[in-house]
Amino acid sequence: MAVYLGNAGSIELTRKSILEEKLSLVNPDDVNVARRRFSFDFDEGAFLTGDFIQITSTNDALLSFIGADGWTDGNVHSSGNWYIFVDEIGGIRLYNNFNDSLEGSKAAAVTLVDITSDIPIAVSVKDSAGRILGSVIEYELNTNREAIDVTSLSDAHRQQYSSLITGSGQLTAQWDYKNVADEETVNYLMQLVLRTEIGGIFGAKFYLKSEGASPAGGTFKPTQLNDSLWWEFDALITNSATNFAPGEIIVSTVSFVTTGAIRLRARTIVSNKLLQEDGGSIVLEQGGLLAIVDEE
Amino acid sequence: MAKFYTGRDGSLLLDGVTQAKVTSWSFSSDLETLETTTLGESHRSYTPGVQGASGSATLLYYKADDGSNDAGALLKKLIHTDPEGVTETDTVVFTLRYASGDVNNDIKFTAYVTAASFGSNVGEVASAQINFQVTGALTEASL
Repeated sequence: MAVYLGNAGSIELTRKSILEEKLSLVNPDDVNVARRRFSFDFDEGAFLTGDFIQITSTNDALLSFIGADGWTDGNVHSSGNWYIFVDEIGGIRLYNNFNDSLEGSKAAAVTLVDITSDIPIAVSVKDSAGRILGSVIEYELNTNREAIDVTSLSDAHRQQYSSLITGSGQLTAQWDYKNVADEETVNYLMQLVLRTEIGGIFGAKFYLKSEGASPAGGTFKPTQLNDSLWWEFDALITNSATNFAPGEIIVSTVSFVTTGAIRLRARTIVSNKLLQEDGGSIVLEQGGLLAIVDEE
Repeated sequence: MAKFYTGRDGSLLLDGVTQAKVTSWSFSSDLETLETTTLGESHRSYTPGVQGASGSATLLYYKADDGSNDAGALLKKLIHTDPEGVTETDTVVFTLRYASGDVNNDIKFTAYVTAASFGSNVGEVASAQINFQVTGALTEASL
């Protein structure tokens, strides 16, 4: 038996939305080619910087306001996916990768093209690659199975029947608002609780043991080093609180309830990356590398 | 020996067969009283009229290993496709029992099922509720 410390855990977040898409309209006046920003009507907070969104024209028209560098094949289509930067007045810049979208610079943004007529669009938040939530101090996850009393007359002992499983928990992290590369901040979760229009759901992996983490003591095989075990679920933020005290680090506590299945997964087989003919990695559209698992 | 009775001692029998997964039963008997008070009397007086009884029971909607479903069988007394509806042959013989060792304290009677309801709720076990109306005199009342 080995003894593990909390240091072995971590939280991986996946930005997603399972709710309906936002329908809107891009007007010619909404597109600012010089600043590489455009806008459409949406409630403040509906889309957050770093979100991986899909824009689709609802009348099959081409998304002609997006320049050629915004398309992998250089040709304009009626639907595409991008990371976004949202400025303080609701303007949006499109980016081809997450890290650039956090920076929000004009230079890295996808170029825009003037349009002459309105383009009706549907916008939804797509699942993106999981990213580690930074500066987490602690977290807990509670799973609860409801038991229904099915005791009948004449029974001498209570009988229970297993029913639905619910999950809830909370996490505490040092507050920060500026993402570093490939990490999320707790500020994102605080924004998420205020997002009403398309829901405040997120995907999460709560690691009991991260890959590469070794125990603090006890017996441990070297081959276990790369093992990882985690809870995987989708959750809704129900509460966020930030504590300010003189001389103390600002910490935010976020409470959530799970929605859908909660799974406790384990990976004890090393995954291999599937490569291209030239030896390069195959990068997934939503981020991350394509991997395969050998069956031994 | 002194004894309190609880649900552990209770059971419900239909036509002499103990029903599975009964979670409760209740029984109430009433008597109509006919007033015989006359002028000049200072206290009301009554003579007994017609006696009646009714009750209810709740059964889990449960299928046994042999495929039987006691709740379903009772529900069918009222939820069925018979164009004749409920007839005089649709009576059932209930026995409501409190057992104490080998001694049974029974209320036995013939009744019509007058109400049957069941449903499906998230996070709950399906159950059926039935109400019954006793017809005729009790055939046993060994309370």
